[in-house]
Amino acid sequence: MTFPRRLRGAAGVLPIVAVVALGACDAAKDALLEVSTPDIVTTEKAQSVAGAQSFYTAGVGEFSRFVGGDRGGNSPLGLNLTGGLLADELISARTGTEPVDNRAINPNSFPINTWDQVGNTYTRLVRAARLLAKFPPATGGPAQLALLHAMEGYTLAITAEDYCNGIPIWDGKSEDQPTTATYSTDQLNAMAIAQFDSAIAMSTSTATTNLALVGKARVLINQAKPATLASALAAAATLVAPVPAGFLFTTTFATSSSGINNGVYDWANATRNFGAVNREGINGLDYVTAKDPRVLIDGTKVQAGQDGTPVPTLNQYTKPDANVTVASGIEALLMKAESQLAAGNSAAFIAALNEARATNAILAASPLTDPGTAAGRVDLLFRERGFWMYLTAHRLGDLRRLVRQYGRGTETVYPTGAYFKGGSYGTDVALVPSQTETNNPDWKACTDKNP
Amino acid sequence: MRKAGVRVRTVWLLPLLVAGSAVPGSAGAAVVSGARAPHVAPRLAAVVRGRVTDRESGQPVPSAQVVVVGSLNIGAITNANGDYVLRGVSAGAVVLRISRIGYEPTRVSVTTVDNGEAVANATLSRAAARLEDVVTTATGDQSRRSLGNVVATVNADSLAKTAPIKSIQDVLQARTAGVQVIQGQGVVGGSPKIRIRGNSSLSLSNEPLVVVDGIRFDGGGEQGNTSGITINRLSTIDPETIESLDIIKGPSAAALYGTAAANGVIVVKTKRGSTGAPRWSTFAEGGISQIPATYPANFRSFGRNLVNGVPSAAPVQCTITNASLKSCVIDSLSVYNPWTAAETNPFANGASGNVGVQVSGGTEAVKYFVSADRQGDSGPYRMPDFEIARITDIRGTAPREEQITPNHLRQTSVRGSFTFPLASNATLDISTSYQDRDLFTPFDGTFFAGLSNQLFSAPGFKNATNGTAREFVGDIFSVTNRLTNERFTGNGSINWTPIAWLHLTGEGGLDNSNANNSQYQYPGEGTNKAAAWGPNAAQNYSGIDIYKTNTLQYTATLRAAATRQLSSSIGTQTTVGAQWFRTASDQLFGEGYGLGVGATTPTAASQRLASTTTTQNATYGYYVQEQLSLRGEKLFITGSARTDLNSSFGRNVGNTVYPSANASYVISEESWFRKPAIVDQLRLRATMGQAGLQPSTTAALAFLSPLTYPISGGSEIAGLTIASIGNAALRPEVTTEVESGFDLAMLKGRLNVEFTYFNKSSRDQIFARPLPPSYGVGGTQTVNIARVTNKGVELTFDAQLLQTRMLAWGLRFNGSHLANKLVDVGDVVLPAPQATRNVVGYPLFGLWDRPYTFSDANADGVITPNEITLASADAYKGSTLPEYEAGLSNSFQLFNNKISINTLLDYRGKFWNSYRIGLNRCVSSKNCETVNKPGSSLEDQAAAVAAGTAALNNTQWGLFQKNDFIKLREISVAGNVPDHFVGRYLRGRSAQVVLSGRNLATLWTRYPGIDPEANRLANGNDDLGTPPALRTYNVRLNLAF
Repeated sequence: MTFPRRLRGAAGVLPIVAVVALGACDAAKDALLEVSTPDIVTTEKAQSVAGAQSFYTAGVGEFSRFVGGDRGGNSPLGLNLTGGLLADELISARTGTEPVDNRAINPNSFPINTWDQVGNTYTRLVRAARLLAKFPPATGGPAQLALLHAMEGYTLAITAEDYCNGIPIWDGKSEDQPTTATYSTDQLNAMAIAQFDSAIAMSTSTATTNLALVGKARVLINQAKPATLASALAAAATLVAPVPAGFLFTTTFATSSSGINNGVYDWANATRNFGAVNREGINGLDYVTAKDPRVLIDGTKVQAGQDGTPVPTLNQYTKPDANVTVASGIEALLMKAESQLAAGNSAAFIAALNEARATNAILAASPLTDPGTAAGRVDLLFRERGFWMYLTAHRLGDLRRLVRQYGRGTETVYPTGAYFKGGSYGTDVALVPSQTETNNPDWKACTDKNP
Repeated sequence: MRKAGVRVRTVWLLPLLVAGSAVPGSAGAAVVSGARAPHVAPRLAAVVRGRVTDRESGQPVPSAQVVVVGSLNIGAITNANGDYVLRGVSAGAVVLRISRIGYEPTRVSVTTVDNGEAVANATLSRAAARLEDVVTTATGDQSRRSLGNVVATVNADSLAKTAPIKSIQDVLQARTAGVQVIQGQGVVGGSPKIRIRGNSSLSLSNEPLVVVDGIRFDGGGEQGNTSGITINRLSTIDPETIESLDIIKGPSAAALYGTAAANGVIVVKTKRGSTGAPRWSTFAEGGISQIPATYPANFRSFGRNLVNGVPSAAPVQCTITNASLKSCVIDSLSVYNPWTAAETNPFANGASGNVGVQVSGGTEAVKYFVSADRQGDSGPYRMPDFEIARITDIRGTAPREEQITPNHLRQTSVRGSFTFPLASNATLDISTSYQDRDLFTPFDGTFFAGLSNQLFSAPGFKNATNGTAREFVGDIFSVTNRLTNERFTGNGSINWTPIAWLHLTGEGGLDNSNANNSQYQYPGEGTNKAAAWGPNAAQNYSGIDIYKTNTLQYTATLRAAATRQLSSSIGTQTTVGAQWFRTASDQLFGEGYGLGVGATTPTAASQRLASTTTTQNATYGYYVQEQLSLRGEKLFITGSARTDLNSSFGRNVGNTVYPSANASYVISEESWFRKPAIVDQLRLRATMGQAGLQPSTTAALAFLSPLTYPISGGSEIAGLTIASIGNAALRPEVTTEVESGFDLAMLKGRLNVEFTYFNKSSRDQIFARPLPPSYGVGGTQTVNIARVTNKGVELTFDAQLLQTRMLAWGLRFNGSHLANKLVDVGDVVLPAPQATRNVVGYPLFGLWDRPYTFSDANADGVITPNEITLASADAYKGSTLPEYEAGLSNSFQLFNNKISINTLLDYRGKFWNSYRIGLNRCVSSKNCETVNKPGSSLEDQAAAVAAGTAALNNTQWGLFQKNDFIKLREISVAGNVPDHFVGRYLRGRSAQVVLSGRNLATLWTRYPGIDPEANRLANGNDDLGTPPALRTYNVRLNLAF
């Protein structure tokens, strides 16, 4: 077999052929480099009514994760879980010591994703509200906007409740290259109230209005100083007066394991990374032994946590889609009770607490009586709040209020003494942003970490 | 006149090709127009034939390379009879260079005439000098002496026959300086990682690029791998089909491989056929695989809490620290080892088998090589008989095979290579391979319900699950991880030498992998008390996750090489080429939890989920290389540049250029060089070059992520969130390497030394810069920001210590030292997690934590938290990648090569393991001897107490363990069956019986864990859930016909 002789003479043109081939390849480089990315959605595609609705869905969904977390594979831990760890609602049954549970927070360590969710939730709610205003649906736009504003308010309010003073929040100036400003707790509270006011003004539904009213009242109480607490409570009680005892606003979770699941269910019930606890660190409430119908813990059924720590069975959230209460008529009644306490009206205080208890048949059968002392009444109030709002992202804020507004010592309200995994509890009283936030050129550290 | 014309052509070729346009003027016209230059018509091609034989034995030398000096692209490989045929040889006097690994190269002269045929026989002497070997580079085969960089070559062909190897990683392990094979989990089918000259990248893969027969090969991790076991696709290359491996260690040599080659390149050359009658070779291998480690027992010190100094009634665990603190009193110590107890021992010797057949041969019309082999391994895991009986009783049927032996492999490989002469000066090569793999891996790794955690976290006594944490071993083994994988590779190349000085190559190929990864447990089976891997109680702990992944990798190359001997002492070779690569991966994920009885797919699940992942990447690049050989091929100077565009670069980024230059000088051949009598040859070499790594597919893009969110009523709808703000300026990582060294042959080839110094600097490191969470736009932004350096030296020497007819003893050493450092990360504040951490000024992925001192102040033999003093700041403990590594092989040939014995020792030094097993046992589970048994080492006590005490920052400083080791990696004994016996009884040509073993012993280590090589991390060193490297014993029969 030989190569055709007639082609041999043409061999000299081969460099040209090669050059032409290379040149052709070069000319076709755009085609050669063309790839598709069907799994991602470009930002331009969201600029529409449908896009705005998708942002709205995400904003509302992220708020659920902010409050109630998500399953392990999806992260994050919600503030009801992380706050409950730092407070006395839960303990860690995971490998090693949990810095948050131990009150020795390490910004580098789990669960830093709780802070991630603060930023995710707030910015997605704001983005959704902006896009919704730009591309409103044919109907229901104001109602959706009102809900977004109420959720923005709660995001700011709960963040202010649980985190240190002086934290970075998106300033809203650029969506492509975001920057932040540092806000004090008072500023966050003021921003939250503004959002609640917007929600109330725009709301077309009683549920959203009640949600915003309870939220605003919560902030009014939170931002009070000891000297202004009574007037703040009175204003809060007035604000929530229209809220019926049966009002309930909850987050929404999914049944599918790929969707957003109740974080406490997944982390504490299903996988027992965390567990219920009785009288954590001397000062904790007796959530287990009280056998209270509001806190569903089976103290007779002790199971091994992930690291072998024995934990009683937590039945507070028994399904992946178990909802978490954000605001309720009971909370409004508790505000009313606290305002009566601040006003010195003990009987009305007890009556309000019992009014709440009357909504539950078991509790109604054992009404409360006046403890007889001021300290005892405060203890009773916060015990009732602790049981009514167990694992709903209220308890850490309550402990801080006990210190800040009622003059209690931190080591008389927070878990203290020997830590059950060895060593002693630390001294932290508030959550802090994660280490990752130090990449923010506009923020380096909390202004203070006081209660 | 003809010479003048040729000179014009050579001089103009480079600018002609680079400029991409015809060169005006009469000289150029003379080249391309036959009509205007009839007097420069090329001489007609001639044919040269010959036979190459061993000078000492007279036996034919197969697989020797014969090339025409000055035209490396006209060449041939000798067949099994030592015969070769060269076609397209320019008429006139030519010099042939004949070389073969393990032989001293030689040259012969021959004169041919137009259309004539000449004969040139040659003899080769065995030698250790390797300078004349041919290695495969981006521009084709090149003589090693012409390269200014070191290229390590491993002759896999002979190793596969005699050494206990099952993968490329086994071939490379401890055999090449600067190449670290980092053992993965010790399971059948598990894959070690490969690092060449250290970790260069913070965020991207540090695995080398793999090129098989000129085609990029996907050697990365198995996508959608559910098992927690590292499984790389590189492991699917059948070592039996490999002729040789060339390891191009760094960018100084890999520049022409461009974007993707910064971590070095492994160039695989598979076996080819050669002209001659069919030659059959078969092998059959059987053996066992086993877990070689001794697992520690679990301890539990029982006692009673002291309440006001009085023991309470309830028994509790009372560690020696708590006893010392008077919070409890110890009254008994329980010890139990579920790793060895009959009811829970998960190990048994696994049986392995491998059979294969190869045939090669050829005619004038076609040369061929075809192989097929089938291997199986039942693996070292086996469900205990107790558990088989228990499960049979519960289910009413016996456990299935994959539950009884949860780590087994069945694999079939077929490969064919065919060479067709299209003309006297053109050939077509076609290669294709197919592989079918079915791999089961045990439920282990870091899953809490997995094997390691369940047995390591156990309480130290025989409990309801027979001494595990919470799961029966049979239930753990009833969670199945399965990978089925079909892989097809095909490539073709046309080599055409239209005129003597010009060689054209076109190559194209495809690497296609279809993989199914699944993890499942059926109703009523598997783990259900501990946290399952996915399905929960409401789903009856039953479910399946399945990833179906199809990966396509295309390669297309056009290359032109022009070679010319300008004078008796000066030659040039100009090479230009263009390449296109495209990778496309489509993955479908399906999940079904709550399976119905009998259901085996998500289809029948009560809760289903599906998603897709598409990943595509394309690179287009072209290059030019100019090589000058000076002083009669004593001095070679080469310069090259490659430019690439990649689909992952930011939209504001243009071409990236990777230049390189190198020089090689065989100075000992200079007449003026005063060579000491003991020196045979000395070569000096130096090189500098760049190569890159491209970003991931979507790293530069701004995009939204669709996620589903629940709405009231239980259903879910899609929402959109910001996933990435992108980076329009994203560039590839670029690594610049400077390398220099020398090759020295001494004592008539009995001693060869190769020394290399290298200095790599990787800039524009692609780094997932953490964005402040408050931005709410995704966790990171991919930026080019960091710089990493790797500096080191490599030394290889081989020595023929003894050479007699009855005994020959050869020794080979290869070792390296590596200094890795993160130099800069711009303004990024790096996270500082416990243990593995990146800190500027220190090696990547080093171990860090807070140091402490301790003192048994009360002299009670127990360390308590108050006897430990914490330092004021964190400190660096050490590197997680060995800073020193070495391999030492001895080979003995006895009785005139009738018996050969080979040993291989493997050393790694100066590196640390985070020893998570120790953390889990002594701190989390509190079941190690240290915290339970009085009299334990104070140092170990302090480490456990410090790691378990929040007030001591839970520092793991004392747990970090020095990881240095020396292992007896391989021993093999091969005996040749007498030829007359083979011929008479087996009707064969030759036969060989081989006994071999791998990972036979850890000769030295101070590491207290299961295995100093246990490491589950790609970056870092952590032994959690990591079984030790498997020990294997094999018996093999090689038979040739």
